[in-house]
Amino acid sequence: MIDKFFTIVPPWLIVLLVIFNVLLGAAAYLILLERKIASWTQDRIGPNRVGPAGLLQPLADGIKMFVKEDFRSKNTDKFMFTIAPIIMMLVVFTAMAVIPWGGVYQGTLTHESPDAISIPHGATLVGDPEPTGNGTEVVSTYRVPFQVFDANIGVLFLIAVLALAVYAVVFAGWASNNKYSFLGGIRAAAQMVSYEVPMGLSIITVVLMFGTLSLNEITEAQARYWFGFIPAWNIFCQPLAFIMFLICLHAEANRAPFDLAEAEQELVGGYHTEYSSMRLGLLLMGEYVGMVITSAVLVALFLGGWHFPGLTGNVDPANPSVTTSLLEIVLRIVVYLVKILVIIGVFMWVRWTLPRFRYDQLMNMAWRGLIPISLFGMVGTAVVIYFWNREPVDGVLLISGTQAIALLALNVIALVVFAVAAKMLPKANPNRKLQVPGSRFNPTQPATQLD
Amino acid sequence: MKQEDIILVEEPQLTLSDGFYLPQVFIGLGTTMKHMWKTIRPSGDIVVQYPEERREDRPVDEGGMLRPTYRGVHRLNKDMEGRPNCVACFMCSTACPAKCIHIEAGESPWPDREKYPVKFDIDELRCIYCGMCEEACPCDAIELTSIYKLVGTSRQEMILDKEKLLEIYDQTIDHEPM
Amino acid sequence: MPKITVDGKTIECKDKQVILEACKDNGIQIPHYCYHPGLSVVASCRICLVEVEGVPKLVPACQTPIRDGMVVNTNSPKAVANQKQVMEYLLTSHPLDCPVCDQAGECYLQDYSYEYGRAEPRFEEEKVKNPKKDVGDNILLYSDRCIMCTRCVRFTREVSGTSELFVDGRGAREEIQIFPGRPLNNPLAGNVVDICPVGALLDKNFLFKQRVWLLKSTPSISPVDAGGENIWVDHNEGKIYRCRPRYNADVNQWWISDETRYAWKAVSDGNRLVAAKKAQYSSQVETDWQKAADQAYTDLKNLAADSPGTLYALLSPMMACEEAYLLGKLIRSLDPQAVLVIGPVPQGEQQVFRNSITGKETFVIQGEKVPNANGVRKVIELLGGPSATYEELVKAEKPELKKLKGGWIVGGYLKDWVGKEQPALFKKGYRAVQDILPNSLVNSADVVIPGAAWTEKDGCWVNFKGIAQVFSKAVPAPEGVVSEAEVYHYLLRLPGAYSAAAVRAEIGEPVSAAKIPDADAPEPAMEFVEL
Ligand code: SF4
Ligand code: SF4
Ligand code: SF4
Ligand code: FES
Repeated sequence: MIDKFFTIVPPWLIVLLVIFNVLLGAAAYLILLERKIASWTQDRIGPNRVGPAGLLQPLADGIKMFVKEDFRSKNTDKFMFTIAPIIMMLVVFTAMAVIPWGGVYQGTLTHESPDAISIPHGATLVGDPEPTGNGTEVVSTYRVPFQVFDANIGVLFLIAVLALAVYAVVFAGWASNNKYSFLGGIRAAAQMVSYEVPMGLSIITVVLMFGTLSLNEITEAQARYWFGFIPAWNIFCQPLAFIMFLICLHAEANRAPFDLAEAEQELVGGYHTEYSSMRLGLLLMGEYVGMVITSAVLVALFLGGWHFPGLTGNVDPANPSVTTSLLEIVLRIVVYLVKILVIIGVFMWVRWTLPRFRYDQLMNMAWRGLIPISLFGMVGTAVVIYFWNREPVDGVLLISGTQAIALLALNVIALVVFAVAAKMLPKANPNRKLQVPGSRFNPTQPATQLD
Repeated sequence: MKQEDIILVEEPQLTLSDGFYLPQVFIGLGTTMKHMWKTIRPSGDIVVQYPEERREDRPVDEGGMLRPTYRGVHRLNKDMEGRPNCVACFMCSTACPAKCIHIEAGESPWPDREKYPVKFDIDELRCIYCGMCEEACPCDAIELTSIYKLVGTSRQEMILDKEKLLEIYDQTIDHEPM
Repeated sequence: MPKITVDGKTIECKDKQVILEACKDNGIQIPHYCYHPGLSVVASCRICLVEVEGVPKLVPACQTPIRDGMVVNTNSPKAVANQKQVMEYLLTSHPLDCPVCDQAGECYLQDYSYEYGRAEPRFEEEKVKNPKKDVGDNILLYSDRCIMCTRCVRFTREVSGTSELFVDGRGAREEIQIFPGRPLNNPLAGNVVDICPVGALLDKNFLFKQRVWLLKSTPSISPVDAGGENIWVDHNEGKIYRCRPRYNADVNQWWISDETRYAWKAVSDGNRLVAAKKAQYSSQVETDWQKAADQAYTDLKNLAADSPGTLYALLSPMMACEEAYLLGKLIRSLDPQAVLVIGPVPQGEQQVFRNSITGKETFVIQGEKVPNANGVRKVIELLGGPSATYEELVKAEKPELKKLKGGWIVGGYLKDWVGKEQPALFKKGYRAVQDILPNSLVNSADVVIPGAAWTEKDGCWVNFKGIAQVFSKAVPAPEGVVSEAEVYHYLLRLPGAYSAAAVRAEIGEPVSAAKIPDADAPEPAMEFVEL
């Protein structure tokens, strides 16, 4: 019955439609959640005027955004000014495509003849269709992932697409023709470029371990147990990479304490200073949806994605993601979303706890802290797994319990090494003055026209 | 200054855990979590929920408003016969650091005084509610009341004139004697 | 040069000085009410009593001449006791109404009460309340505030020579009075307000208008006659409130005429021209001053291009020398043969005031009713070339005046100046007019550029004696109005911003010698005046 339905409306389309709309709604409600969390940390109650406990606040905000005048100040670059929010939205929704929301569904279909086999779009047949003995009827077993597009280069795709978000910010800053916006754009660009490196390195660590770029397969590989009871999530064997990745996500999302691009106090809102009405709405929504997507990636890479003890299908031991129960698929999606929500909660909690970094601290942290550590972690992981001659299971390398312990040990070693190294490294002087030729501070050349 | 008066303050060195940021970050997160819990637990203690709750309705020792010293919107006091106490001496406008009191003086229509304010405008948007005018007034004519709700739809509306200031006197005299 | 010792300090003084003056010259303050350097000494207020060694009683510093080697104590216990006592007695019949008194802030009684008086009054009786009296068109007398120093009485007797005021009664009921039917309306009457040390005599035009501490004073010159009386223009937030005399030993000493005192009213006249206009299809349309000036410039240039010697400039004797000079240069740059005409110089009656007792001349109000006829004549002389007087222009008999077709006319008089006898050129030909108040000429001119009044610009005037004196900008000109000089500066395409001092230096003597008065300088040292 449902299988017939899937041939008409393929699962990827369902996922696309549902998730797309859920995300749009979620972005609005995330703003409410953000405000609530802000209030709670500050001993307030937060929005409570519109609807019960302020629950209709996002609606009111949305209406406000829509009905406000679409204002563009005089000397802006019209084209770039317009496409910046569009790029923002486009990028985050494109990234959504490769997120493995619910694992793989296995179903059966009865066809009238072996020549008229029609399975849902995006599904693959398992084995050959078998005749039922009822005329020419055959029964086929097919598997279909609950994911918009199960790309085998999923991770690469994600990095590529998310990196495009910086264009939106830079375009917005540049097109606004406002010095604050421009500064915001420039800061964002430098920051995103810097933090993409440790982010990429932590992702490579994970990719190395499993030998695959497909997010679906990486999730599936974590849907197992070490020593029979510990979920084989990457956070347990690569805690350092997890933390690096989490930090980088904050930076990528331009959120406190990395919100230098929109620092209200210094830059009056940064790249979106000149934006108003729905254009601003799109930029903000893009930011929040981006947060959801990047958290989804984090969950997929380190927290086992949809996996939760008890939710592994047992149709095919080599592929724990395969299940024949749609209910299980739905439960997995719920689990996935809850994990994302927790991560986003952490994002917000951090935002209302930590003050903003200074720009040099920000750069120091990326280039002197995160990049060396994640580089060390990556190389170490490569060395550790090199010594195990593992057999791929269905194209994926797996991490056994002992390997996990070895990797954990490696993480601890990395921490100790860096603790020692940090003491020995020469300290950067945060107040050093760069001697730019011709500047007032350059003692080598007499300052002439300036003083 | 003597040598022994100079205290050299050394910049504190980061300890190992400080150098890693994260332990301190976690301590900070703990603090905010504590506040979050304090706010959302059933008997959460939260800030005054204006406008349902108002400080003037609370007892003073529970964070309520101390009316006699609160500095809000001005009023012009009247005497027994309902005339403004003000003699247009310009002391308040001279003392005002925000220069927001504008007086036009004229010959008073009453025999017992020389001068009275023909116009008396206070720009409540410029005022910083410092109370200097009240201090300066030799006739106790200008006073700051405990009214803090002041709304208007234009700047012009927020410049209170003599009539308005005298009206505020009528509104407030019952609970704030001169 | 005699030397005396005051409070242990040896000071040098001039011959024939009294102690008070010698001390004042040397920066030692002795309180005084009845003493005024421009009036005779009566020594009636007794607050200036000082102790002189060798003299058993306290002596009045305002009256006692110095003697070489004299030792004076101004703050010995005896002198201080006297000061306290005088203050206390004065205050027994002085109302406590500083908050509503216009003198507060520049009141001697207030200052000395603070400095020499006591904080707590001991007087418990009812104070005598003397009436408030209207003594003249411009002057009010609050007799209860009077401290009977008789400065005002002496002024009317010794300076204006009109003797309107006298002292009536004795003791607490003593009052300043006028004779029935003879109000205090002489042309110098306003000065009594300035010399009254307290708020007893007040100016009706200033009454209740402003508190004096809010006023800013700018040194200026009287615009009403050729005397060039020195004044302070007191203003606040761009509005003039009053004018006061500024001491100048060579010109007006301590006094000014009432005409000078109230001349500022023309500046805040509601009829002031504020918009530039140009003629279009037999009516005038408003424009901005640059456009109007450019229009006048090109039109006059075109006129002169056909035949030189057709232009004239009417230099008003209300103009500053700098302005007259720049306008002269401007018109000559258009037409080297342009005629420079000096505007009408109205003549009034010269009024001389004499001490009613000694007959000595004390003050003169000049008959020439414009401030700068002398200066403009000098500028015209300096520029050379054809020139004419206003009367010649009216008659238009000279051959070069017959050729005239158009000109630049400057008014700036404080009242309507285009009389019945006006030159034919005011009705025909091209007229670019700069003026401050409307008149028939302005209403029919081809181009009108509003001018700035004298309080709104910097400049210098040469008085009838040939003394060049500088006046400074006190208040901003009305919106859209710039000073005459700035218009010429703009049309001559001179570099930088207009600076009156630079133009003065270019003109040379005697104008370049004029000094900008220092607004913060102390009042010049007083001379002993023999009356
Ligand atoms: S409260 Fe202060 S600022 Fe406001 S009017 Fe009075 S003196 Fe001025
Ligand atoms: S200080 Fe008092 S009496 Fe004086 S003007 Fe102000 S309000 Fe009136
Ligand atoms: S009115 Fe003034 S000047 Fe005249 S006697 Fe009285 S205090 Fe002196
Ligand atoms: S000043 Fe000397 S007695 Fe009055």
